[in-house]
Amino acid sequence: MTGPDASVLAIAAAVRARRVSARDVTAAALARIAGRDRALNCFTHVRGEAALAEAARVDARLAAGEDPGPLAGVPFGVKNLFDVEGLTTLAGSTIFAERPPAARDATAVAMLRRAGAVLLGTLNMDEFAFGFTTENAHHGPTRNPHDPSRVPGGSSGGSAAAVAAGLVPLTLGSDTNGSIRVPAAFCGIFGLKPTYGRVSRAGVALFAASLDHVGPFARSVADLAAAYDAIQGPDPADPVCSAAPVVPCAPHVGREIEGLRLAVASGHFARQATDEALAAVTQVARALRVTRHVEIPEAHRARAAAMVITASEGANLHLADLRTRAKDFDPLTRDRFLAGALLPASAYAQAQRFRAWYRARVAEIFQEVDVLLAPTTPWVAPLIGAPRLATVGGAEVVARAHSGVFTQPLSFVGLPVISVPVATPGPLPLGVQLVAAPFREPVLFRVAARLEADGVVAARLA
Amino acid sequence: MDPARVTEADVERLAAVAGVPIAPGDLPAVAVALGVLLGAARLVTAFPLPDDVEPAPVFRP
Repeated sequence: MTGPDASVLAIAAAVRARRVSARDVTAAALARIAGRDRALNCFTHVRGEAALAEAARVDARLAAGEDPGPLAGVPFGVKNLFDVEGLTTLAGSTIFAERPPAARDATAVAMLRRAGAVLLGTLNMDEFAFGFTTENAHHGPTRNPHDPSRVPGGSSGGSAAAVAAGLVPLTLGSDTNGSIRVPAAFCGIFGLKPTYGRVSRAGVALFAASLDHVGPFARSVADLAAAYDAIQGPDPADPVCSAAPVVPCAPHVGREIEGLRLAVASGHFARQATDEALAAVTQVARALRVTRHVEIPEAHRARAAAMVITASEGANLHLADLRTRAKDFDPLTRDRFLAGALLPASAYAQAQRFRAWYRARVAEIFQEVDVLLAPTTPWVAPLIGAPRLATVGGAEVVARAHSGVFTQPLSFVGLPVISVPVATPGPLPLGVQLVAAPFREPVLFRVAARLEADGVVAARLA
Repeated sequence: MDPARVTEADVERLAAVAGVPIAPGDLPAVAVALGVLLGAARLVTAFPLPDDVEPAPVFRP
């Protein structure tokens, strides 16, 4: 229970049964971080003594006969855009480092702590979440634990790499255009981007509010479900958080998938990708005996609209700093934020209108299909410092942005997606997106668990 | 998604109008980034939408 491969559920069960103390579990995780994170650079802040004290309180509650919660003693970390009481929320920047410490935890952090989980620290990311690589100029790049010369993906790169390396079994990230799913794929773990508005973003530094989501990373489907069940639900402090009743997903892990209508996303989702990325989808489709293909119309345009909304809202959010201190932005985000400040309003307005049109088309598809399969990324994790342009599928593309080519058309309309890690012949993992209609996370967990049980998908500890 | 052609002079003029000062050293990279964004914007605005399609975010007073 104190090793790098210990799962969320195994740790919680052992701590609750008092076979191991939460303090020992925490101390072991802190030792792993001390031993490996100098090389990986996942954490930007480690709580150390504070985490040990928090774990000791979990043990004390158990000793007193109290119930500390279903995630008792589970060590976790959060992307450093989540408010943590007493810490300044960096959002990957140095500009925010001048701000006072957060007065309270973000809702999702508070919910995990109320469930008994122990917060070990905060994790590296692309500045203000604007990137897919976690090549952060201020805090240094996070390295992919499967190959340290490569990126872990982003923007929640520290969150994914920490789980893949076995530093902690559970982390939280955020996803505006793919920032949970891309790093989950590049690091070979499970990542859930829930339905837009299903998990509270209160106390999370926003990027593009129209598209911002919060979700968990883990190394098994059951762990992912346990984490998601702990954080999903209404929150009046987040204006887009849904009041819909909570449907726990843990009970769906292991349920039959017979009768579910599955299909592979074609068209946009089969272009401008490496053969191995497309082969990962085929591998999953074969295992599920899926032969049907469905094309989401105008998915390429949905991606373009997501780019316009992201750049416009992101630039507006940071406009005062862009006007007065652009030099303090990370060079990898500065040019794109500045460009976003110069976009015509008509493009933004049309992107939001197109979003409504596209949502209706996607809803029609999900009348006929329960789960769609699509590649998560067009390639395996690129090298740190890779050139700006790349060629894939015969086309020249902007390399860093292209990692989100398959994630953006889905988050654009808030669909729930699990990125599952697919075993590949090569040394680097890949992901496949399981996509459902809004609020149908339970079917995603059913399919993901079946694939995991059949050995088609598995997290890789590095 | 083809990028639009944007020069450094274009960026300077737009930045002046928008009141966003841009350091000379940043102009080349911003021109490239704006070209990519305007390429995306053209793709979006070229799509004919019926007049009754409203923006996705709905304001409720």
